[in-house]
Amino acid sequence: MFTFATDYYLCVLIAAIGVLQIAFSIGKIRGLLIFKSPIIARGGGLALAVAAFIWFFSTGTRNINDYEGGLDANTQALFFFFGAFSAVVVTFVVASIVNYRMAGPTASRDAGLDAVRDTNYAKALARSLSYWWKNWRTQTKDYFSG
Amino acid sequence: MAHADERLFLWLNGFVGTIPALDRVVTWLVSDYLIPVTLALALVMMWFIKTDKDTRERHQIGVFVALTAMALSSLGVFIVNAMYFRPRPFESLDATLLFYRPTDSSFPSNAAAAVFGIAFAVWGVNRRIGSMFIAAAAVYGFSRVYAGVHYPLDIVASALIAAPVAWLTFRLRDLLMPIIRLVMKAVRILCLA
Repeated sequence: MFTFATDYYLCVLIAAIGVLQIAFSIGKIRGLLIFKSPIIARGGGLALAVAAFIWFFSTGTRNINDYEGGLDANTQALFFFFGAFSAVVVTFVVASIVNYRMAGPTASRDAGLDAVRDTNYAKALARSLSYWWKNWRTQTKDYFSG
Repeated sequence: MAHADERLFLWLNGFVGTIPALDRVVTWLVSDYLIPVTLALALVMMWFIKTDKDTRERHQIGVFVALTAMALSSLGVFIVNAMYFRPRPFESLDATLLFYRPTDSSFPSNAAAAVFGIAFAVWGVNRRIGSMFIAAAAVYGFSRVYAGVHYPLDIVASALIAAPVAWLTFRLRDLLMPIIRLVMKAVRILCLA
């Protein structure tokens, strides 16, 4: 049986996957889109987010005090972080599989999010990690040198 | 002032039961999960939504500022709560409650201060998105009065605490910049910023 916290985690996870697809579509980060069509990405994302909330609120009493089974603010924040983080991981894995063949123009190796604009996430991440593995001394000099 | 506050509360709360569909909507709106989670997801969206690097970075810094403003607004409420306790309206008046029975002080509203803190900080970064956040925070505040959880003055006080806190956090964001830049650099390695 799902507990309140599990329900909340699942609600955030599903809604966040939807919201991320909307954001990646508007932000033109094609390497992280699961569906290429903007209508499907945005419409599907919105539908997913709305469905998550409808499911959450229609499957039980949600206005419960924390000492009666609800979540206090800190636990809520923690589970939100877990849910959103899981959504990011799920999106990256699925988008990397769906966009396996995507290899657009090579962005600079420390381009960050812009590197995923036209490239598969797994490839962009590998390039970025390899760049940082070789250059971490020069890149962190400003923060840690005396 | 307190008398007018009570009268306004009783007038608004008096509508509970007249339109069952509205009560059902408010039961969702007043929840600890709908509007706070929606605003948090909107912050996630703000992180990724801009296409040009400089604007995106400004929005990402805004997300950090909004979270800081939320925490500091809650701290402000905590300090006021430590000095002054106001019983909840359903304890003092003949109110109809659409929510659970919180036991902490009614004045000011911690939940409303947190969402107003986020909303005002976002408004400092992007007026259009910030206005939507403020509207959502206002709806949240209204729902808490309608549902019998807070007096109107509790919500107004929360906004009055959150506004200067958010403004100050926004103005002093340069003090946070070394930490923000370090986190963003780490996140950029993962192609996330």
